[in-house]
Amino acid sequence: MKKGAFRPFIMPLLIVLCTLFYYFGELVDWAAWDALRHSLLYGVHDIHRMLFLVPIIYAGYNARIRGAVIITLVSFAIFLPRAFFISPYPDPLLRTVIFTVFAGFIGVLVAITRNQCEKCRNLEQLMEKQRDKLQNIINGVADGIIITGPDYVIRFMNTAMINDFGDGTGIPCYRHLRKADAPCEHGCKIPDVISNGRAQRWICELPNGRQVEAFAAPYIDSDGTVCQVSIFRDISSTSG
Amino acid sequence: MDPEWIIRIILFGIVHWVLAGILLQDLVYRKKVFGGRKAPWAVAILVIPCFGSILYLLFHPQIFYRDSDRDGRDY
Repeated sequence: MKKGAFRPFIMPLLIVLCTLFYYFGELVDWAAWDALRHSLLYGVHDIHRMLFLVPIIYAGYNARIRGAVIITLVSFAIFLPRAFFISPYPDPLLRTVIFTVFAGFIGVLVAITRNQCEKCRNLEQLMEKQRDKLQNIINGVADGIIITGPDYVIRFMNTAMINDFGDGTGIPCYRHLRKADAPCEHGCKIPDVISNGRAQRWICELPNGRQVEAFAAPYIDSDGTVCQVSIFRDISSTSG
Repeated sequence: MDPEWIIRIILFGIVHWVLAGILLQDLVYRKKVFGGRKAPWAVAILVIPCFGSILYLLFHPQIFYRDSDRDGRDY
């Protein structure tokens, strides 16, 4: 049998069960099932009405606001005969109306919360897709791309850079790229790029003898920190 | 007429017409209905207050699921 084939019948079943329970005292009287007579079935039906919260909340969760409104109105229609003709207690209609408004409010609230959750999930998926797309583009570039923070710690390296130097994310750039213990005294553009917000372009020689042309520009990371994004292009072969 | 009865009739009327409005809209957009014809359902919803609507809901429980055969609008 197809999975979830019974799903559409859950709601009618819930409504029928709640209605049976709500009018069970009258049903017992009508059918003369004396063995089933219980004081619970003949008291004030405020507690019995609470059971209708189950289908109302379920409708709000599954069919959202429209479902919650429909089931609230259906429940109200089910409550009305007792309020009009059966209940001997004071203000039966008022108590029914108050409960219906309260239950409808809860159902709509559930529906709104579910809608918001779904919206957030969709947005998150969209963001992840966009991020993956951008990451793929960056990793597909032949030039090395590296993002360095103001503390010289590498925050991101693209695939070309990782292939050349190994993954150095979380390690200071001078240690990873130049095997030095302190920031480079000459040629380091990080202070200038980050403090002055100016893009820089220079040619530098790496410890392995390769000559690269570097472009650096300021970049604001997701945490708001101003970093430096650098692009390294190998010019060893062209410079001869 | 007793004012309490007037209130009762008004309340009952509100419930009936709101339910009928929602369910008639669903009926219009639904591709397949139980029994194959929409007109008897429309008459039942309109003419039998509340009970017709409840009957329509019992025979079309797909209304409570988003993958129902309506037009797939977000509601």
